[in-house]
Amino acid sequence: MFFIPGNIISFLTFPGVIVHEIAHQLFCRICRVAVLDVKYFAPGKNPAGYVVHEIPNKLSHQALIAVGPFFVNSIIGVLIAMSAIVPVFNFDSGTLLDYFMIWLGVSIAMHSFPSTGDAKSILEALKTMDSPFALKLLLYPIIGLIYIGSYGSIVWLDLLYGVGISLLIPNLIISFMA
Amino acid sequence: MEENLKQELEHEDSCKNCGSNYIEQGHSLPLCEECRDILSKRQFPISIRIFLIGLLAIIIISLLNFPKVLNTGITYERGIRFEQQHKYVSAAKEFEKTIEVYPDSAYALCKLYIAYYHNDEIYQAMSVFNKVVGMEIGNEELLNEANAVTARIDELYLPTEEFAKLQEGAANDDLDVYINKILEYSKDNAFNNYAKYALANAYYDIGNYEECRKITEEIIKEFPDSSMGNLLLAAVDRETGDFESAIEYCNKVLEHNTEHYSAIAAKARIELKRYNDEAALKFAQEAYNLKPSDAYTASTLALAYHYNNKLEDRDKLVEQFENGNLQGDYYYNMLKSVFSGAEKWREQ
Repeated sequence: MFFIPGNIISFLTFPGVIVHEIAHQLFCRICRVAVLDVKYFAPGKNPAGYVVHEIPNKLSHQALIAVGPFFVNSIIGVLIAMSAIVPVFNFDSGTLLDYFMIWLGVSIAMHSFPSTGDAKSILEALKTMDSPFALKLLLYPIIGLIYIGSYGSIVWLDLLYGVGISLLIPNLIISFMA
Repeated sequence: MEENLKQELEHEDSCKNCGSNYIEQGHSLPLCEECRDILSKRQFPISIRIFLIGLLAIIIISLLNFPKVLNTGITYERGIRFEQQHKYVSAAKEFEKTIEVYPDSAYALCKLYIAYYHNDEIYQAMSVFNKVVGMEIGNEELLNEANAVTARIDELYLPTEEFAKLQEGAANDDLDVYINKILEYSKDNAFNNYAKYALANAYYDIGNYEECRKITEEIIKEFPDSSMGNLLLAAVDRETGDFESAIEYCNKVLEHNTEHYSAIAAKARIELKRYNDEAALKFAQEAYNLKPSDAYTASTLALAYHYNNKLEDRDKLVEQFENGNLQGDYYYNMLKSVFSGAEKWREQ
């Protein structure tokens, strides 16, 4: 197993860290949750970035803020990588710009997974807040997936996800339309 | 004490940021509306704004490029699907479109090379080969397939240097002289299947179908799916009246490439020989639609028009030869002699 320290990975994929924190902040903005402090990227530190916000009153807000990066990072990552990944992987004919966009897109997409800190905050909210049963039923598996994603990064699950989703979406569209 | 309690209560209900008493409800941290606005809509620092502008620019570039990338991806995927269906003419068309956008794509060039080979378009295949030779091909399966095609082309379609010189020297010779030169050559030189095919073809041209069959069957023994071998045997069977066998040889070729236009045109000629003129016209049109620029398919269609009494259409095709849109003096001269009655292509 090829092991690279997390702070080096964060450094090499720093755009993803920044977008991850921006995503948290964005959903705080949408939910009108006060943001008290933000660190978009702190090289060499753990965590590499963070957003400190008030505890949301609603479980749905807590979940949105925690899980927001999954959607934002995935969408932005795919939007950037999709036009570059086909020339490189399908045609072996990429330009320098294509490789840059793949690095940028995959870096962003691989930071889609919420952190265990985000999972803990949802779990805490589940224990203390009153919410519809259906929402609680939805959130427990999501917490599980967050932990899988987070620990899976040790075996490059985040990278696999980043590359996979960037490759999958455009090729799915191609297969469907061909 | 009352004063302290009052102050305490006011402090709990007041904005944590500015101390205002007008708290926005529904949140855990007491803040007034204005402070909540400021804190929830916390401004991004300049560096992050620049980062976001850069990101937006890159997303726009990606979105602008994506339609072209998507179309080419679809084209290439269609080519692969045609290939899987053994429709190599359609596959080649799609790969040609792919190369227009990605002229340096080793994958697409390889695919095109293989498709051209299956269509017996060896000149075009060699032209692509010259572009792709020396390129690194990451796909091992594709590389192996391309190498197998190259070995086949080498064996069946390319003369040795000495044989090429012989052919050049015999360009104006009578066929009997040419055949003797080849036979002499075969005594002392490596006689590859290209040379054998050249000899078989020469025998066919002088009407010695038995010798032609004997040599071609040797080629087929070693390369059972050789399209040129099978089609030459189809022609021999056609001329000797064994039409069913002739059709079978054509179908063998079509098993490997359902769009092999020469094989389809060959079927048209077989049907013309046995007076199934309507069926012949259908095959001839199918072949021509696949490759209108091919002299053999065009001349076959002209023959089919002639025997179906569609003389206007026939003459339009002959015009194509006359004004240079179609290259093939052999076929043009053959058509002129058949249509003028100088040559009897079939009994009536």
